[in-house]
Formats: sequence, structure tokens, C-alpha cells
Amino acid sequence: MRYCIWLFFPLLCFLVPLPVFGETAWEVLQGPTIRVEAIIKPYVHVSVSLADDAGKPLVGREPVVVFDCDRGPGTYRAKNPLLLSVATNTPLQVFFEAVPLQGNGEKQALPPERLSIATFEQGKEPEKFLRFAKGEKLLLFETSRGGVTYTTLCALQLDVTPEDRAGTYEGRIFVEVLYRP
Amino acid sequence: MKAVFSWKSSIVLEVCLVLFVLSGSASGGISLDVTPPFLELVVSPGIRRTLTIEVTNTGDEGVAVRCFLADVSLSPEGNVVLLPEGGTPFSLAPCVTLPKEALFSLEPQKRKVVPVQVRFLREIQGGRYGVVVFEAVPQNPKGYVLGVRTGVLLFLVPRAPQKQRVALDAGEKEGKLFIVLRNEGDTHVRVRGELLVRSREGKILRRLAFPEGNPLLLLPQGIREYVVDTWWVPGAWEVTVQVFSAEKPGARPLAFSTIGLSSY
Repeated sequence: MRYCIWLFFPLLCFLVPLPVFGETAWEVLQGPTIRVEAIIKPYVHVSVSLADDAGKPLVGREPVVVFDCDRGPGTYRAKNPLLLSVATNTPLQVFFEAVPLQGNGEKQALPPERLSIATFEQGKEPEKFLRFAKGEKLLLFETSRGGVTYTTLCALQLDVTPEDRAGTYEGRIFVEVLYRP
Repeated sequence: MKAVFSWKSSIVLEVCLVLFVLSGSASGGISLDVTPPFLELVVSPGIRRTLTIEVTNTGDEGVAVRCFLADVSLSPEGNVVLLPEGGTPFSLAPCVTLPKEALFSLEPQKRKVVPVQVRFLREIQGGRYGVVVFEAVPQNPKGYVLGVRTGVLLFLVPRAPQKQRVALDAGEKEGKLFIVLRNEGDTHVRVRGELLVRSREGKILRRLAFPEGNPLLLLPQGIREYVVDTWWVPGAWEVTVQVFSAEKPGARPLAFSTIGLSSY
């Protein structure tokens, strides 16, 4: 019974007006306040590397795409796929651009049209290959909101024709990542 | 007090999570961060300013970085297109000076601050648009190498009030509405649009806002195309397309066009 009184006392204080208990006036004292301000700056993080068979990045290896064209004319898949990773908190677009592969001689070149690219998931085969074109960029991914991380594997393949001379060819593939205004 | 602690701890946790995600993606290959990705400055003519751009190699390999200026335009779909410096009438080139060190190497996990001088000349009319591009390739490139190209989109707009002029052309074909917008002013404009589908008696049957996400950006002399395919309602007699400045909601439309639908 004694405990019940103590339990009901706060309830009683709430329900019965203060003047019943006297002239006590309560005042809420304002303590010091600290204003908190967080500024999240826009960022774009892009990473491209070669991947192994398990889809993991090949650490410590130069990002060089190798086509081992050892069976004459035909279509060759690059030895390792690419692993593309993008993290951003702003809208952006990701393009791929290929420049011609230049051989040893002046006239030895493989145009970008011989190269094609396809995105795929680990454990699945790439399906739709998109062909590069001179001066054109392939749109691979875009976000209009930001706040995303995007990771994909990309397979590259090269068409070799009977006219192509033997030798080593060099070129560049650029991953272009720009803010989407 | 308990509530404050949990709030602070959630922020710390979130920051740690972001750092973990970023550090986790750093591996062999090319990895480059550029901050900020976009800058829009309202500038007073004749005033010099220095912008700082931070470039970070977040990968495990050293990279060679080339910094250069490019003009920019938008495709009708809104994709960013880089053009050679000075290739457009609204080029950034006369207003921006890049550091002399246009080629530099960046070791793994290192950051470089790139100062960019901006001076908006008094004789220049309208806005100026371009990209400060950073192109990273391996330090000893051999074979078919991968590279990363990213940069800062830079929009410079004079402080003086600008005239916004947008032309609108709309047409209907096979049940779809094709809208073509053209910026006829000398400064960029962001627009939102509205479709009003009316009956023969003039009653509004449907009101539709577009686009769903961010407003449509039009650079000077730029063209933007937009297609709306879910607009039709039974009894539709005519449709009015109008576009407004996204920065001035409630203002008069910048342009409008009405299409008769007598074929329906």
C-alpha cells in the first residue's frame, strides 16, 4: 500500500494544479547550446582495374588490357575483364572511349570500331557487346540522383582481320566520369 | 544526453562507413578522385578569383595526370560532350588560367591541390562554360592501357541580370509527345515543364509536370529533346506544353506551345 502511494504521487502532481501545493514556480534554465553543422561535399570516386577469374581486382598489376591474338583472323576476348567501380553523392555519367591501336609502322593501326565492350555480372557470360566508334563515347552508366556505388565487370573483345599485320599494337581506353548537370 | 550520444555515434559510424567503402575500392589499377565535380560561380566582371581543385590518387599505383581545359556542350539527351578548348562561342578559355604544371605525377594515396585562376573579362557577354579535365594513365604506359578521365564542370555567370530566352517546339506522333527546347539566350537555363491536356470545351483533363527528376539544363544555343509517352486521356482535344524557369517558380512561362488533337 505504501508503494502504491509513491507510485501515484507523480500522477497526482500532474493532475492537481500547482497552487494547491503552494506558490512554487518552476523555471526552465537555458544551458549553453552548441550548434552542429555538417557539410557533405560532393565527391566522385572512380576506379578501374583488371579483374581475375573470380571478379576480384588484380592488385599490383599495371592496368594493361592484353589480347593474345594467336589463331589468325577472328574475334578475341581480352585476357582479363575490367572491374569498374564508381562511388558518388552527385549525379554523374560514365562513358568509355577507345583510341586507335597503333602498331609499329605508321600505317599499322586498328580502328576503335574493331573493339567492343559488354558489362556482365560475376558468374555470368557477357551478352550484348557494344562496338566503339571513332570520336564517340559509349554511355555505360548514369545516375541523376547520386548517393550510389556502382561496380561492374566489363569484357572487351577485338576483331582481327586478315589484313592486320603481325606486331604489337598500343592504345588507350579511357573511362570518362563527369558530373551530370 | 543518451539521445545526443546515439546521434553523434551514428554520424561517426556513417563517416567510418564511407571511408571504409572508399578505401576498399582502392586497389591495383587507376583510381582518381576530383573534388568538387561541379562549380557554378556568379562573378563580377574584372574580379580575379582562385579556385582550388583537389585531385587524389586513391589507387595503389602511381599515375601520370594531365590537366587541360575543354569546352562543353550537352547532347539533346543531356549527355555531357567534351569539345576542344575554344571550340564553342561560350568557351571558358578566355576566363580561365590553369597552372603551368599541366603534367604531374601522383603517387598512391597522395593528393594535389590544383589552383585555377578565374577572371571574368568586362567585355565578355553571357555565361562561360567548360571543364577542367584531369586524365590519369599509368606512369609507364605500354600496350593497351586503361585511363581515367574526370574533371570539374565549371560554369561562370556574370553578376548582371541575364535575359532568358527559350524556344519551344512540340509535336505529337504515334501517341508520343516530342518536345524540343532551344536556349536562345547567352546564359544557361534550367527549366521545368508542364503539360495541360484539355477537352473540346476547354476543361483541363490532365496536368502533368516534367521531368520527374532534376530540371532540364540548357546551355546557350543548346538543344534539349524530351519525350512524354503517358499523357493522353479520353476526350483529349488539345495539349499545351509550357516551360518555366526552375529557379523562378511561379513566374510566367518562358515558352509555350499548343497542339491540336483533332485526329483523335
